Amino acid sequence: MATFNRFCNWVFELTYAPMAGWPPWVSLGVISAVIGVVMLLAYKYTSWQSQIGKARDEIKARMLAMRLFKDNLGVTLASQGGVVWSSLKILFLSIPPILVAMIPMVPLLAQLAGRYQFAPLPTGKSTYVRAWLSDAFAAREVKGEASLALDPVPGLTIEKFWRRADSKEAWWKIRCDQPGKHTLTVRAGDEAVTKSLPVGDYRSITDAVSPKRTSFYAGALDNTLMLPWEPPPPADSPVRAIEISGLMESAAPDVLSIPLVGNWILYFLIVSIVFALIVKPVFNVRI
Amino acid sequence: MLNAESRKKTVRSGLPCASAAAPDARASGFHAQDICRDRCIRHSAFGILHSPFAIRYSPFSTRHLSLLLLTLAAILLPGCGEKPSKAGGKRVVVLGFDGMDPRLVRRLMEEGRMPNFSKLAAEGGFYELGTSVPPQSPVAWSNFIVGGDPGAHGVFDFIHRQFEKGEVHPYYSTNQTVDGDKPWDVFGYNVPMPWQKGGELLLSRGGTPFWDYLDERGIPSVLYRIPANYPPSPSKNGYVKALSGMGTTDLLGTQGTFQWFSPEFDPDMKPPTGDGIARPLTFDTETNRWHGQIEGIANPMLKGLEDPVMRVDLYIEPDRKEDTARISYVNRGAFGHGDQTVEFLLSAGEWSDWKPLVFLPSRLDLSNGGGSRGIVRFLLRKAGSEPELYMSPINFDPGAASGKVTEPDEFGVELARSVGPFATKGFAEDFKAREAEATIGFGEYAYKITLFGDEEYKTQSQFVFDEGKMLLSHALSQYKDGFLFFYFSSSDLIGHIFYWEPEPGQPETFTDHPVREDEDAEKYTKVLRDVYVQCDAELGKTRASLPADTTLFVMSDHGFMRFSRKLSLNTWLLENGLITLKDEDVRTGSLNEVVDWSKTKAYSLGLNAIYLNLKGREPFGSVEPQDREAVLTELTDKLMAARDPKNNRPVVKTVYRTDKVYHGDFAPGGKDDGHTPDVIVGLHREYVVRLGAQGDINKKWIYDNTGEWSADHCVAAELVPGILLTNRKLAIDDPNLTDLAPTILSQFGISKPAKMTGRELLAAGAAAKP
Repeated sequence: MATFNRFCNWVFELTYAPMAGWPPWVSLGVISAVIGVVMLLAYKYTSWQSQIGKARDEIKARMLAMRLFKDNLGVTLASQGGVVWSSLKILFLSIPPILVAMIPMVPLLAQLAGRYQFAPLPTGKSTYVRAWLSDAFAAREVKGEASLALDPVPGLTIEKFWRRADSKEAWWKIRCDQPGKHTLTVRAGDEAVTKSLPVGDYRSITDAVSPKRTSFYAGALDNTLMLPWEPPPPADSPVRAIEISGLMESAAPDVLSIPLVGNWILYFLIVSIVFALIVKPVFNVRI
Repeated sequence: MLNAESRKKTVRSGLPCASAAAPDARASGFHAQDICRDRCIRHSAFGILHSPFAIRYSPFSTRHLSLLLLTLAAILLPGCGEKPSKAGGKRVVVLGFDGMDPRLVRRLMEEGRMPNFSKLAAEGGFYELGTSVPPQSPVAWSNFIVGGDPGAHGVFDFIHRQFEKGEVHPYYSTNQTVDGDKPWDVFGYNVPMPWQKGGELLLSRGGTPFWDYLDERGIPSVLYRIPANYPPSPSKNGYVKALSGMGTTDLLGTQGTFQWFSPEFDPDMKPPTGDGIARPLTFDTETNRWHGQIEGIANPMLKGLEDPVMRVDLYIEPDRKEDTARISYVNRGAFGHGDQTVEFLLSAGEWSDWKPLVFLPSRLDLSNGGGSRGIVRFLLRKAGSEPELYMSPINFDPGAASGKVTEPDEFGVELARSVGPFATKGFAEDFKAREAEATIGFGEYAYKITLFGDEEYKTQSQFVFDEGKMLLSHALSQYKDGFLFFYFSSSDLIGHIFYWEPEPGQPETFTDHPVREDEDAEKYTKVLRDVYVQCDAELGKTRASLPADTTLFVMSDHGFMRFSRKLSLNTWLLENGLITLKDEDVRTGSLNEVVDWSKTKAYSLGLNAIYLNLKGREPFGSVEPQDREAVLTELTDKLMAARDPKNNRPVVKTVYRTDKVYHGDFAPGGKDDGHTPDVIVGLHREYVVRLGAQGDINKKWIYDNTGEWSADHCVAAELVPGILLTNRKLAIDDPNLTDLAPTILSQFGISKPAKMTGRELLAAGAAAKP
C-alpha cells in the first residue's frame, strides 16, 4: 500500500505542478472539469450503453403512453409500473460503472484533500501538536524511566507542554514564527518520529498538507488511503500517532475562499457534474 | 415586550426586512442577468457559426452554453456586488471615542503625549462638544445619529420603562423584544409553523439616522460599532454597511452574562454581584477531569418545560505539574455537518483566543449553519487541583452572520474573514466581571471570592481595544469615498473603572479612591492615560491613510469625572414625600412590591429620569393632569434643595424639565410622548445614581461609593462636555452633538432635513487644510 500511495503522490504532484500557485477555485475548477469529463467517458465505456439507452427510451415511451391514454386507468397503471421498472433497470445498470469509478476516486479525493481541505498554518499562528503514545511507553514515561520531548525547530517556538499522568496523550502548543516546510521530531526514549508541518502562505507551498501521521488502524482503508502523504510510524514505535490540530480546525476554511460554495468537495461535485452534463452530447453518452 | 402601541412607535426594525433586502437583491439580479444575456448571445453566435455539430445535435447550443456561462457567472459575480458610489470622491470621516474627557485630552496634549490630536487642534480647533441631557451614551449617540435631542429619537436614558400587567418594568432603552406567534404544541414540543411570525428584537431608537439621507442619494456610509443602532437600521438602497456597537446583546439576549466555573460553587448559587452565572465544577473520578456545563439559550422547541436551557459539557484537565490545563467541549453539528471538538491548553492566568460555541436545539436545525453560533474567550484563573475558569459573555459569531449584528449580514462575514473573530457585544469590556464577587459557605464560615482584578480587567479591555484597532485598519484599507464612522469604547469603559483624575482646580493627588490605595489609584489612572495615547496613535494612523482633502472629525459623546457618593433617586423621592409605601414597615424592595401607587406622585427608573405618576398615562396614575404643573414645581424645588447629609453640599445642579428642553415627536406633547420622563436630574460632580435605577427603593438615599466603578458622567450635562477636533475651521464656537449630523450631510451637498434641530458647523466654503 505504501508503494501505491507513493505512486499516487508522484502522479498527482506531476499533474498538479502546473497549477501550483493558482487560486484554489481555479485549479480545483480545472481539475473538477477534467475529472468530470474523464468520469463521463469511464461511465460510457464501463456501462452497458445500449441497455441504458433502451431503458431510457422505454421510460419516454411509457410517459408518452400516459399522456395519450390518460383516461385509461389500465394503460396509466401499466405505464407507471413500466417507468418504475425501467428506472430500477437504469439504477442497476449504473452500479458497475460507479464501482469502477470509485477505485480511482478514493485516492483522487485523498490527494485533493491534501491541497484543498488542509492548508499550511499562517505565520504567527499557534497550534497544537498532539502525540499518542503506546501504553508501555506512557507508563514508563510517567514513572520517569523514559523521557518525552519535542525537539526544538528553528522557526517554531514551543510555548507549552501538557501531559497528564493517566493519559496516553501529550500536547505541545507551538507558535509558527517562520514560514517553511518544517519537520517536527517527537523524541520518545531512544526513538524519534517525525511529522511535517508546512507554515506560510498556502500559495507558496505546493506540497500536499498532511494533518496526521498515524499507525492506529494502520491496515484500515481510511487511514491508509486517505492519509497517503506520510507513512505510518513503525508498529513497535512508542509514538503511535502525531497530529497537527490547527490544520483541521481552521486553516482550510480561512484560505479556501471558493465563491458560493465554500466547501471544496461540494464545489468539486458541482463543477464535475456540470461539465460532464455539458459534454455528454458530444460523446453521446447515455446515463 | 412591546405592546401594540409601543410597536407602532418603534420606528425602525433591524431585522431582515423584505423591503430593505429586495432592492439590493433586485439590483444584483439585474446586473447578473444583463451580463449573462450579453455573454450568452455572443457565445451562441460562436456556437452556430463554428460548431461542426450545429445541425445534428449541437453540443454548443445556446442551452448548453447558457448552462456553462451561468455556472461561470455564478462563480465570478460575487465580487461585483458593490454598488457604484455617487459621493464623487468626497470623503467625511468621524472617529468617535466614547467618554473622552476634554480636560484629560488637553492635559496630555500639553504634555506632548497626544501629538496627533495637537496637530489636528492646530488645524481646525479643539472644542468642548455640548452633550445630551442626560449625558448618557445611548442618549448622546442617538443625538449624534438623528441630529436632534431626545425628543427627536425617544432615547432618554440607559433604562426605559414598560408596563406589564399594571407593573412597571425596566428594559434597555435602545432595543426591545416582541413576542412572536405562539408555536403549536405537538406532543409537548413547541413547533413553529412556517406561516407563523417569530419573535423579534427591534431597534427602539426613533428618528431618521443621518446616513439614511446619504443612502437615498447613493452615497456610501460605513459605520463601525455604531452605538444605539442594534439591530442595525436597514439600508433601503444598499449604500449603508453597519456593525452595531453599544446596545448589542450577547447570545443570551442580555447586556453581558459571563460564566464563572469553580469547584467552590454549589449547583444553585449565583454570584451576589455582577451579572454572571456561577457554574459548579465537579470532579469525574472515572475520567479524572473536572466537569462543568456552559449555560446557553433556551431551546425554543422545549420552551415552557421545566428546564429548557441548552447546555454544553465542559471539561478541564489539569496536567501533572498543575500549571496548565486542557479545556475541551463539543459543539454539536446539525445533520450532515458533524460535531466539532474544541480543545485547547491554558496556563494559569492565561487567556484563550476566541473559541466557537454552538447551541443546537435539534440535529435537524440546519438554519444558519446549524444552531445559534457564538464565540467566547476563556481565562484560566487557577490551574491545579482547584481550577477556576472565566468564560466571557457569548458574543455572536460575526463570521456566521449570527445575531444580526451587521447590515447587511454579509458585512459581518466579510469582516470576520478579513480580521478574524471579534467581540460583537456592545459593552465588550467586561466591567461586570470586575465588579463580581461571590460568597462561599454560610454563616461564620462564609468568605468572598472575587473574579477580575484590575490587571485582568485591563488585559481584557486591551483585547477589545486591539480588535478595534484591527477593524479600523481594515476600514481604512477599504475606504474609498462617502462617509466613514469608527467608534472606540475603551476610553469610556476603561475610564469607568480606572479614571481617578484630580477634580478641576485640585492638586494632582490620587487619594480617597473607593477601593484602591493611592499608588494603585495613580497607577491605574495612568492606564487610562495610556489608552488616550493609543487613541492618538489611531488618529495618526487614520490621517496617514486618508487623502488630505478628507473632512475629519474626532469626537466624544461626553466627558468624565470621578465620584465619591452614590445615590438612589427613588429613596430620595420616598424621603421627600413623593413616593408613598403600602406598608411603612416594608421600606425596601422593588417599586411594584412596596409602593402604594394611589398616593405616589413620582418615581424614578433609570439613572437620571423621574416620571410623574400621571393619571391616564401610568397604569395606576394618581396625579391629575391639571395638577401636573404643581407637582413638577414641588419636585423641582425639592431636588434643587437636596443636600448631602455628609457635608451639606448641594446634590443637584440642574433640573431639566423635558417639556422645556426636548423637541420633536417624543417630547412631551409630541405624538409619541407616552414614554418620555417628565424630569431629568442633573447632578453635581461627585454624585451619581448607582442604586435603585431598575426601580428599587434602598435603605438610604445616599451612600459613600465603595465600588470599583469609580468614575462616571451621568450628571448635569454642562459639567461633562465631550470633545470635538476637526481639520476644518468651525463657524460656531459652541458645537453640540446634534450639530454633527447636519454638518456631515452638508459636506455631501444635502441641506439640513426639517426634523434636525442641530446647526451646520462648518463655515461655508471652508476647505480642509492639506
